[in-house]
Amino acid sequence: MSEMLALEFMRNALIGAVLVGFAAPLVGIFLVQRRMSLIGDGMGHVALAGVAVGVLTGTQPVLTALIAAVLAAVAIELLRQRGGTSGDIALAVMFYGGIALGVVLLSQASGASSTNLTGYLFGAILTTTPADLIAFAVLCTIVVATVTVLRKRLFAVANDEEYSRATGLPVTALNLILAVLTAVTVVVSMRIVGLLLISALMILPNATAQRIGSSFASTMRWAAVIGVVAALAGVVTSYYAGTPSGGTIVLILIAIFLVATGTAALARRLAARSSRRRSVTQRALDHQSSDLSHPGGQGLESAEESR
Amino acid sequence: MTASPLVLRDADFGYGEQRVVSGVTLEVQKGDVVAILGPNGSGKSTIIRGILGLADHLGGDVELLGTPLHRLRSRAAIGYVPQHHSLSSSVAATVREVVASGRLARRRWWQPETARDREIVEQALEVVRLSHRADEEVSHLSGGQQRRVLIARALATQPDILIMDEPTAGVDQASQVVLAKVLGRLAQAGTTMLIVTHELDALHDIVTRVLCVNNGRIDFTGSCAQYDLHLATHPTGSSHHHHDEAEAPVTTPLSSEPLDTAATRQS
Repeated sequence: MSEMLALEFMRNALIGAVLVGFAAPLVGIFLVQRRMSLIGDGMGHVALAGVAVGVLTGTQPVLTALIAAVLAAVAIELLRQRGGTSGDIALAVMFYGGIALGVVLLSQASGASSTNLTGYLFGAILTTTPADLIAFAVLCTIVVATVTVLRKRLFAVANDEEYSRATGLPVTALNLILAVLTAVTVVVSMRIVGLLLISALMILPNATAQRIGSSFASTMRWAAVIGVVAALAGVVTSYYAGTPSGGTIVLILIAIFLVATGTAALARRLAARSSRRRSVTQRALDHQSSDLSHPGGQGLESAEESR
Repeated sequence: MTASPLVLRDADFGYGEQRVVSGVTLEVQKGDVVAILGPNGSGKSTIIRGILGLADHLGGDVELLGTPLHRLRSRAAIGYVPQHHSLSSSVAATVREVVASGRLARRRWWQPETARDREIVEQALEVVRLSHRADEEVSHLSGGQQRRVLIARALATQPDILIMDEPTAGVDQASQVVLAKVLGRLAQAGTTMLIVTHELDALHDIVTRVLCVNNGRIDFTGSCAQYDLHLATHPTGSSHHHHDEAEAPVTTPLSSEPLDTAATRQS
């Protein structure tokens, strides 16, 4: 372990993993709540076009990807609000156009364009530079701070948009903020897990946390913990196993999800069996006592509550 | 003298260019419990959606809480209970978390939840008798209990007017009676309510005025007693007031008879 930590690129990779592992699920939970789990993948497609522009023009690719992803996020949200088939088709055009443009532009870049493309498609956390880390830290801080301040409003809108609108919450503004937060998370995650796996860090920790959490707040906390643990475990495993970090992180997330799902199913089955036993015993006791006393009348309100 | 919570004068509502309901005139006084009745598709829900800003206000005058609708900037004093529970169940949310979201319109975006907010949420839960289930997941509750969660969320805004869309629809008979009790307690406390329903029987004792909508027009306004009399003078089984567009006889939740017949017998 100390040998690994002695390497600067590994320290950078681990810090990057913690930042993204923590921030991505905090945004992802609202996407899951709104049943928009795969929207991040679409934004990733568009972000690739931004990366390509950055590579071609010699600009910082994170910056150009961020601009492209934010513009896409705003367009997606406006199209979503408009609804209908034309909006759906427009989204498809934007997503496929983004990745196609990215691939074509990157092929024109001088030098190792295929390496560039592979890095962005599958992630290249081990190439994280100190400058990247600063950019990630700033972006993740913005994401976490915004979610912390606005989480109850984002929850309310994702939970019941019509009610939120009727009571005067700024629904459109909050939706746009969530879209931009998603875009920022996508750009940061792109370097860690690659754009083909981009939604995994936002969604899988939440899918697992849902098996554990009993409230929105606790689900959110569990998702952040799972995201950090999986990202760190993925980077460490990839170092020792010589595997790509992005795919390793996602496989670990899936393993955690399967274990949590299996454990939850087992717990439910045991609880149901225990409940059936109690019910049978209670019925037997009720039957025995039915000759001795009449059950008292139960109010409707409490009867419904006891269901 | 305080302004009436809601005044409509010859108001039209709809979506885009399409008028769904026209010529609505109504003045709701503080403490009134007004039922808006009508068959499915008559436009009764469009009236309240127009008042809430969810449908377009296409003509006439609407004053909500003393302010013309087009100049209304804050909707924080409006409590709204949607027709169907539209809560997302994709991620677990407790009863308390959902009810607490009713407080958000009452504070600025940067302000954290205060002890007073939490106290109001607990009071709202107590009114609907769900305090003991506050930490349970909403999706684990019955349909009637989920409706009570939505009522508590609306109450948590401390509304000057409570607008409800079919609060007793789609829940079983026992839950309807429980919901009617909850609404009865609110009426006794002087809460101004506007309730869209096609099941007046469950709410008959608390409703002070009735407004009937048919084919996008108002065809009756008056007290509950006047409404009963009005029904008695109309031929039973006509398409008036309560029959769905499919013309299936609408049954009362309590008597399982066609509503017109039941109401005639009551009067």
